[in-house]
Amino acid sequence: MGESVTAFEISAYYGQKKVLHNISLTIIPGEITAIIGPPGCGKSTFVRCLNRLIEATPDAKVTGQVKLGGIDITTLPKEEVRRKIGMVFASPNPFPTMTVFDNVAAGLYLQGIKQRSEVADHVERTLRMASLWDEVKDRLQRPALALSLIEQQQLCIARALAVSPDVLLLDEPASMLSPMGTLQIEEIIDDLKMHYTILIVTHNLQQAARVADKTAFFLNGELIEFSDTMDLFTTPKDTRTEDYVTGRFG
Amino acid sequence: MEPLAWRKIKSQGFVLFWMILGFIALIPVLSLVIVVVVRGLFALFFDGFSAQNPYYAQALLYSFLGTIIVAILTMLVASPITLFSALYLSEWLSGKRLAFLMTWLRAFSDMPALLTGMVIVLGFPNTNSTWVTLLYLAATLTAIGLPRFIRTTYDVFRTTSPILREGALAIGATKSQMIFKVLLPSHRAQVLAVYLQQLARVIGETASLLLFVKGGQAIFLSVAIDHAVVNASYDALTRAYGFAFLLLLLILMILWLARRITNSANRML
Ligand SMILES: Nc1ncnc2c1ncn2[C@@H]1O[C@H](COP(=O)(O)OP(=O)(O)OP(=O)(O)O)[C@@H](O)[C@H]1O
Ligand SMILES: [Mg+2]
Repeated sequence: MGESVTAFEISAYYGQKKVLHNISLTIIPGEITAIIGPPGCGKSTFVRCLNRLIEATPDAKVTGQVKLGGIDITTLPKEEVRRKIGMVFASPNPFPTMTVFDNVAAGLYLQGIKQRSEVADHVERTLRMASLWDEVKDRLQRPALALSLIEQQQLCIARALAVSPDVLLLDEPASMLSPMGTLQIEEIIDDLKMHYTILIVTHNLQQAARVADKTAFFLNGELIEFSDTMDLFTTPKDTRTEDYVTGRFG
Repeated sequence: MEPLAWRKIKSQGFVLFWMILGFIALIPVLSLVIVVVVRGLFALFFDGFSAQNPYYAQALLYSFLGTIIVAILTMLVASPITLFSALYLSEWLSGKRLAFLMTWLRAFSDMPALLTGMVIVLGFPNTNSTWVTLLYLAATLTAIGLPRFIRTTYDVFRTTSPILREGALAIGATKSQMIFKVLLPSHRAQVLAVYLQQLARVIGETASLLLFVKGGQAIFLSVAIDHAVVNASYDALTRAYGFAFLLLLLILMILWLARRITNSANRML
């Protein structure tokens, strides 16, 4: 079961430019939360604040607080935060020189876990969760780049799950995939929600409507509205939300 | 819009221009081949070397070995320095400081070979030891070549997509794990290819500078050729050409290998 993540008054800057304005938001386990909003509104920046990946950007600065299950994430080592709050990116990014197996096992190897049986168990379990085991079980020692694009993305999901996270952040995970691939990813995410806290960024409104229990609407670095997906799409409280979900802009 | 006919003439002129340029470039290569063919294996004869009279002796073996040893020593010293400097630039520095350093690197990395030769002559050690001479040459070539080595290696890392780095960090890799366990292994083919290209260049650079190194002496190929022409020494000229021919073959082989590696790495990515 996942842990809840609470963002409290998060503001983010790139150099002098402020791109997030006091965002407060809680995502809870057992649900899928979606973030929607036009390009450049700060969706990716926000999710990178949640796992401290933003700190890898040289001129980025963040204020505010993020709590994982009640613990301030800045009190933990950032590597541990990133293991507990896993992330999947828009373009599948398996490690190009590693095999399928090693890609999934990479996070374990990095922690010094080398015991073959333990690693193999983890790899099989997480590949199953990513619905990829049956496809690749005979190709575990092949290079990861030999997989199809959708399989590579599933591999990246398995890689994130292998280090036993509580939370999974997905930043437009299907934007490079075909409609079929998109549906496949959505099914996987839906199965995962029993075990993890899930946050998905998407520019695809239908996708948010299909998979998300709650949806947040971002605009120009501000959180405009956050509510049950159903309500946000049918009875938005803010006119800007209404304009966006009805396709008047964005 | 330009008229179509004019554009056609322009593009044909361009093709012609490149053909002429290519032909001119072929002349020295062909002349090398012809000398070796006409004079036969004599041009490649290694035996009976005498340091006292290198122009007229069969100094080819020493010339060849000297060049190769200098090139390899240079790469041995330069490679680790290059790798760590390039990583430092691409992974740790950013903003103004990076821009400043890169400006200097770019400026120094296109130092012409002529200047290299002048610097070498300037500090040439007064010694009888072949190894001291070789080491001196390697050290000088390293110092002069380093900006270019670093810049080309830096370009390999800079052109990586950030998603590879983020992918590693996102599963809890520390920065050094990300660099040494993911970034570097993912680029070993490209880095190797860059090194080979640089090796070929060092050999080429050394070749034009050195005809032979022994007993603390080094003789420049251009000087040797000039000397041979002035003295109307057909043998010395032949050997100089034979030497150049061998090195050219070697350089072509190394560059071909580098290309193969780059191509297969690109196919993989
Ligand atoms: N590394 C960076 N340096 C400077 N500005 C940045 C950087 N990354 C993003 N930005 C800017 O911050 C703002 C928010 O970007 P962000 O990537 O978070 O938006 P997004 O909602 O994820 O957009 P998209 O839908 O295109 O992915 C944009 O204006 C963008 O130009
Ligand atoms: Mg984004």
